[in-house]
Amino acid sequence: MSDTEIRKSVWSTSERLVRKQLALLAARASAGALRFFKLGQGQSLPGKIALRIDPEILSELVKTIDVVLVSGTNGKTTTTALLASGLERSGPTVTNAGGSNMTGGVVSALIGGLRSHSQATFAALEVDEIYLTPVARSIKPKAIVLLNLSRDQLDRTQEVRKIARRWKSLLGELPGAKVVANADDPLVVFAASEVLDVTWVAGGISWTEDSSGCPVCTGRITFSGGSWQCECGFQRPEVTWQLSGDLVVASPAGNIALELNIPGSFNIRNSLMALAGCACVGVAPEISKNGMAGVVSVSGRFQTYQLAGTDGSVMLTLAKNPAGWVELIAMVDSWVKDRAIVIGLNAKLADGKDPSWIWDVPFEIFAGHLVVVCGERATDMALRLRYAEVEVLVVPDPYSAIVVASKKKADVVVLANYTCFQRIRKDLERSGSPTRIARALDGINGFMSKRSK
Amino acid sequence: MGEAVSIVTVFPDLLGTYGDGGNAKVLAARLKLRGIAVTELEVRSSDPLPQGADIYLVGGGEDSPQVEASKILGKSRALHRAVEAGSYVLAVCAGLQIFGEYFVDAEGNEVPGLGILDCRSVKMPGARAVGELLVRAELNGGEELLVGYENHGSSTHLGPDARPFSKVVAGIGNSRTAKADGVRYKNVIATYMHGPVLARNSELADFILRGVFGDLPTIPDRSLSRLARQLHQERVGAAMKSHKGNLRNRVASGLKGW
Repeated sequence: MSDTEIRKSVWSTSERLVRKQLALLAARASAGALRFFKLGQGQSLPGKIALRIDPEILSELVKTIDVVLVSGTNGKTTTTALLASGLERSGPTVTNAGGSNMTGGVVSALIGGLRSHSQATFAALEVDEIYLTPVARSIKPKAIVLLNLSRDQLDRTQEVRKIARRWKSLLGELPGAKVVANADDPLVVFAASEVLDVTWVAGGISWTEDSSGCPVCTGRITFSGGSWQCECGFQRPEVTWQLSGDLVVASPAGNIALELNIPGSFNIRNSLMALAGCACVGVAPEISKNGMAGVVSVSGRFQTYQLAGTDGSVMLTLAKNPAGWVELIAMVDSWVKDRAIVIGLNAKLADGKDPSWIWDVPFEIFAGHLVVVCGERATDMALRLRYAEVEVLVVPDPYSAIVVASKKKADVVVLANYTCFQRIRKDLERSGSPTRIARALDGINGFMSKRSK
Repeated sequence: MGEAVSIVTVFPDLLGTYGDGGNAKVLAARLKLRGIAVTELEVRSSDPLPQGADIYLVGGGEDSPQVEASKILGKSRALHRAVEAGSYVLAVCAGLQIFGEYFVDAEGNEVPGLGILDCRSVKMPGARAVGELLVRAELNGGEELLVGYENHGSSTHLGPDARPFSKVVAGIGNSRTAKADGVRYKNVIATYMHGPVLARNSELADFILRGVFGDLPTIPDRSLSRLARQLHQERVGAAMKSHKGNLRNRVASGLKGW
């Protein structure tokens, strides 16, 4: 026997309990300390510490809870928020609303959430596409909602198709899990193709460039009239949940009129996926839809802030990959006439270190307009926009960029990728003091005069 | 094809994972800015490739679409004829591999390429090559620093008839041992640099355009040219820095091994 085997075998039930309690204690203490010293948002570290002390903490935490996991490239956070508010109507629900979606973050969220909701019946958890495998293996969820797959952070994920293959083998290991899958995305259908209890939903697809090569046979998939198929016979499955009118959902439970308070047609599709997810754990759409109506902004997405010292507003949106941008562009197109546009681009680990994808986004729609560009990779974005015949002003500091934009037009729309979005959100929440604006303007004046020399 | 410079993007539905479509946008814009007419064509894999275009762009792709693209191009021989006729070709990443004798698919099987370039791509030992790639390439009779981003799991080995496109300054390129990136043959430039490479390196874009059009007038939009230079410098700086960081890590882990 190896050391670890011996160690495992001598773990009696009481030791398991002690270990779990120690892990919880350490996680709570570290979360408290992080909060006290204002070190970041303390989202994943407590979970990592707990996992170090008790590697089985994840399955321990959810023993008595019905868990629904949400994964996919785009819409995870919003769909999870909709799902959680839907489930909450039927019973106390814990969720990782902070968007921390790797193993450590999921554990932190569960520990934090179960403290205030010790009697929780449900958990709605978003999980990173790559981390879905280890998280689902430990949790053994009641249901998994699979949204979509497209190019995102390829420096980390390498190939979109690899994720689909990984999902497929994971679902093979979890015969008890119900799966809600987007029938419009061939890569998601491929991943869920052998699942016994699967609910096919018309979840929509805005970006088909990553799925036009068939995942089954290397042939090509043709998309037409809302459906798709390959010569090999692989095709869009029959759906049971779909939109039958503007805000009407046709489902096995009958027609449901939706009430949503977040913008974008993609969010109607997200709520469709969330409704089907709720149904998997026995919460009927007539009940869950009422919870979803209460969602107005999700972790800063679509949130409108008042810009201190001005009459204008700032609307914040997250745009982190081509598929996400394509979804937003229809909305942005109607905004561009009467609002100033700010685009932020970073390339940190959480964004993906390779922002080549900006060349896949049809920024040509901004041609002739002025866009203020900010973030660590502002130069990359600025050149991309200039080649699309867009007028550009580069102001690397995001908050200063917003202030500059608000001088052009009172209302500003900010589109930024992940870490840039987080930074701006924090800035906007903290701002409000006129001195901060004055300082930002000072910085800009310095910047402008330097440039004119 | 008349007076206009014609640019064909080959199979964007199969090859174009890393924003490679940007290369066509940059070439077309740099012609238009100079008042030169341009015809842009994006040809999907279900349609035949037109003959006689001035420039063909072949981008990066995932494993199975790459196999499919190679199969179609091998059958049609459209790119074989284009290369023989002297068209310019920029082949990036999977594009580079397709142009060789063979490459490997996801299962490690050898897949025949077009055999236009004397090179073979095999599974690279060790980790995937991901990061900034900085090279020195001979353009216009002098050496130019070029910079891109690489992300590939295969290494490419050149035969006696192939000449590398550039020497690697930082990053990996063709393989961990070769210290070279890409292949140069006739008017074909094949490289592992995406990013897209022509946005980050306007010198390389203009080198191709000069080959097609002859002497080029200066671009009157000076702020765009300045921005392009600034991006090039920023990325060269970043590649140098990440290379130094890697060296330090390697030395540190080497010492730990002792």
